[in-house]
Amino acid sequence: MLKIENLHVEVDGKEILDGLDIEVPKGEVHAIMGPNGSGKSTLAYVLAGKDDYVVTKGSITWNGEDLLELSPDERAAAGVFLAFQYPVEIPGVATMTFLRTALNAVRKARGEDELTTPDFMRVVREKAEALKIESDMLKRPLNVGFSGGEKKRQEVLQMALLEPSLCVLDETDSGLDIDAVRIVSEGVNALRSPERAMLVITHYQRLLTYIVPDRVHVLSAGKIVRSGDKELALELEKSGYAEYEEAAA
Amino acid sequence: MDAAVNTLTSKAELAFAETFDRVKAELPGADSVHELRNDAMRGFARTGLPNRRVEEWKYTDLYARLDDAFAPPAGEGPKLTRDDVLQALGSELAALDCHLIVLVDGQVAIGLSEMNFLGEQGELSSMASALAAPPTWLEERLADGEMAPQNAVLCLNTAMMSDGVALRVAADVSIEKPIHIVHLHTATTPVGIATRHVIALEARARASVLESHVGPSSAAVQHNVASDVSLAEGAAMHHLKIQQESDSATHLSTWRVALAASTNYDAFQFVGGTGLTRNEIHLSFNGEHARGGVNGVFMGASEQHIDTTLFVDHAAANCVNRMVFKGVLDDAARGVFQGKIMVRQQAQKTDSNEMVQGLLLSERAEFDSKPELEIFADDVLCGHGSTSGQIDEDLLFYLRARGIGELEARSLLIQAFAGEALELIENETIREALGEAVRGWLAHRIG
Repeated sequence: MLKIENLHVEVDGKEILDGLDIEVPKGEVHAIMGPNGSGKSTLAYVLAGKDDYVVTKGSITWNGEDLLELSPDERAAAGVFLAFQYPVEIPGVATMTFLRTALNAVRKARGEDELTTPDFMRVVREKAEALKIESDMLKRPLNVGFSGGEKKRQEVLQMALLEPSLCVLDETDSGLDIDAVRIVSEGVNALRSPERAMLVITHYQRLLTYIVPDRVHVLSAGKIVRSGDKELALELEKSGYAEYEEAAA
Repeated sequence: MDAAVNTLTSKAELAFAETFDRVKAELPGADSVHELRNDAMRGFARTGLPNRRVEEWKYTDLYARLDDAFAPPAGEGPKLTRDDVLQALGSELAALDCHLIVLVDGQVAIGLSEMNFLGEQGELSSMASALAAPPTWLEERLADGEMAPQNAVLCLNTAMMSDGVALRVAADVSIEKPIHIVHLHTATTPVGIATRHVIALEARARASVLESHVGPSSAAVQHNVASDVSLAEGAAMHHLKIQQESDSATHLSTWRVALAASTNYDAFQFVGGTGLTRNEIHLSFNGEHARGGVNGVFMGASEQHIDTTLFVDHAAANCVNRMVFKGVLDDAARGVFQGKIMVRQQAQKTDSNEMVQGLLLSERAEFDSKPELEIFADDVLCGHGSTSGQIDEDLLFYLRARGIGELEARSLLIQAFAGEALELIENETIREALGEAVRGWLAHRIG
């Protein structure tokens, strides 16, 4: 279970998260929705362990393990995966080299053997095919020259390869056309399992028609102001975030 | 004695002059060569070692940095076996399929070198023996004062050169395997070594030449090495250099490259060590439709000083020139890059571009970059770019968020940075050997 209690986070001395509480049990998918600037991406980065996001109060545990004690790579080894809103381009790092380095690092940290080259190639090919990622894309430097949709599919491919137990998806639908949202969502849905928790951060309800959440939380001004079932997302789609922005102000 | 010699004042300058006087009679060469040597020494006496007030040496004050000059190694050096050489080269370089020519302490070791592969397809000999009766093509190149005039380092080279490689490839001959010139230094005490290579490719000839400097010596070796390269019409050459010497070594290198029409010259320099380095390259486009590329990677640590200075002279129309250099600097290392592109009035339609990027891994590291364009033609495409920065924290976080440890992530990003220059090397095995050199440097530095 992911358990976040009374989380306060500052960025550049400014408080962004202001006492956030949330619990995501294994096997469930929770959505976090909220207006711009409510702290959604900050929550994603804090979970992954980005520098410059200073936790001043509160705690985050995953299956009882204190995540705040761990470096970003240790968190990845502990099963945390953040699908970035803006995946970076890394010229000079071949996609396959990167995938292999990441997979082996995580496997090693989990006490598993490294995959042999043929096994690795087979696994990547299978998973890439399911996400309609052309083998051409895998030959290029990581994310370089990829479209927005290709980058997001690449994120989901990495997620499928690394088999994390806690998936955090930060605005995975942003910048995607409807076909791409469907492909990405299918990829994510294929990873739903009783052992895996997911936190889907999104501004729009659209993604949640494909990735149907067990719970929906509204984040406003750094804390959860309302929680409900999947119907809450539809309600927000109609009413907008105005009432929450006012409530925060 | 020449009155001008009185301009020499520093301990190192005086030591150069004294050493020359003491050993000149034993240096190889016909009378004409000895005249060249004397001229060169007089040239050095006029300029002395360049200091920072000389614009081209602004960031590398040789006058201040050389506190002494050393004599050539005396007597017979150690007898090395082929295995010793391969071991010194390391597995990647040793595995390259090359014609090997080995210089030990500045002398061609004939027994370790392949000197006969050319047959009737040109001339190949040690410089020491070639100088005894220098053929015209050799003498012309040695005496060429047009390129790099007033160059103190080159003057010292001409005065003191003990040996090297003299290579002429006849017209229309393609040498398939790269020629690997290995420079090994075994000294345990400070020595000064001057080597000179002259490489002439006749019309439409093709060759690859790799110069490596990976000596096992940790002594204060001052190595002055110069390569004179000329490509006649339609010739093509790959010219590579790998330099990984000790922190106490000094490496002063001058490449002078003259390109005739429709030639293709493609060079790469890798520096992964050496206390003090000056790599000077003079590239002249003398005929139309020539293409020249000079790229490189330099990696410095501790207090190493690595200076790459390029002079590109477009004297003919319709030529293309590319330069891409990447520098990685750790600790208190200092990188210097100066790239001057001169486009003369007649050199219309010149397409010339230089790009240099420095990656600083430490707050004490320094990178000084000075690209320069001097253009007298009015229809040209010229550009330069220079950047200097640190590892991008966002990229680092991304890699770490995928489970890659901090050191490995840093190492990957540095490899990627250097890789953008390395990928310009056409020869795959050499490219991989250099990639391995980059990884070796990183493994040693950051684990």
